Amino acid sequence: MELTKIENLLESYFNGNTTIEQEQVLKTYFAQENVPAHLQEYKLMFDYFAQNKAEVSNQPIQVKTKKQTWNLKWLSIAASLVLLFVIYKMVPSTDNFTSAERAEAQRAYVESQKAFKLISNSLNRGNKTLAFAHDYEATKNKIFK
Amino acid sequence: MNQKEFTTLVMPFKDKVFRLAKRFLVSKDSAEDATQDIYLKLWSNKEKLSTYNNVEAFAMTMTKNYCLDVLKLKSSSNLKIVHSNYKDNNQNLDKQTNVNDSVNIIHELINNLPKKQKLIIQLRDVEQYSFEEIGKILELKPTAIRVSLSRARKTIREQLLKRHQYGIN
Repeated sequence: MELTKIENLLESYFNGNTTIEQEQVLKTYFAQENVPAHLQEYKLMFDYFAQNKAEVSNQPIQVKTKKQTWNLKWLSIAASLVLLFVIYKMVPSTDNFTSAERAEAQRAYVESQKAFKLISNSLNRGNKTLAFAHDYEATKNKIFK
Repeated sequence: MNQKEFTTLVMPFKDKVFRLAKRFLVSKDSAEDATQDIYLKLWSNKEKLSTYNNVEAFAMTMTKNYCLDVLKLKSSSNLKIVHSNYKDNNQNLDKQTNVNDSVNIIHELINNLPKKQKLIIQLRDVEQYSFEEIGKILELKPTAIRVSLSRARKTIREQLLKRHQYGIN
């Protein structure tokens, strides 16, 4: 009676039609030592499943990463502040001249403009004389083609 | 979510994650590393965890994907293959000294199954998940799972009977 029930259960087990409860019945049946010879193979299977389920990892799980990320966050903020400060110090500020210095700079600017104008004028004067040379070049090209 | 809440939420299925990882990554060490990695990922997503209605299924899906990724990496890198061969030898040594040899035959038979069937056998016959839960974990329809499961169980039976006959002759 018991045996036919188990055999029927096994049949539907291999067809994938057993419920968890029915599979539990099979598991408990095959957990005992005395199993008929023709069912020994199935005992191996169920023994294996039971053994496998008993296997556990002894390694503790560590998830204490919170502290580290917290430090990293503040560290990066501090680093960017330092960087900003350094850049601020390195770039020369344009706004700390006295008014005397400013006037001096303005005068120098005007003076140099004058000087540049002078150079430019004399250069243009030279250009006018060079215009003859251009005329000569044009006539020469006309003749010697 | 603080660490204590996190622990009570995810620790109950730690060994299931470990066993699934071990099924795929073979050695205990790499399975433990995988478990550690998966729990770190869960921890970094801890704010989202409470929005999932089935955290365990979510974690098992993650484990499955993680293992398949690792295997893909292994098969694409020669160095890793050498490494895993080396580990395999160690395992064979372990197997030789193991008295429970017949149970190891089942282990080997399951490991030789296609990935999907291996997953389903692990989830159903070892961890005793319902078809609906397995469906959630693997994103498959319960009927498809039933078919794969039946196929996997029958393959194991067939191979086992073949070996035993061979042993007798």
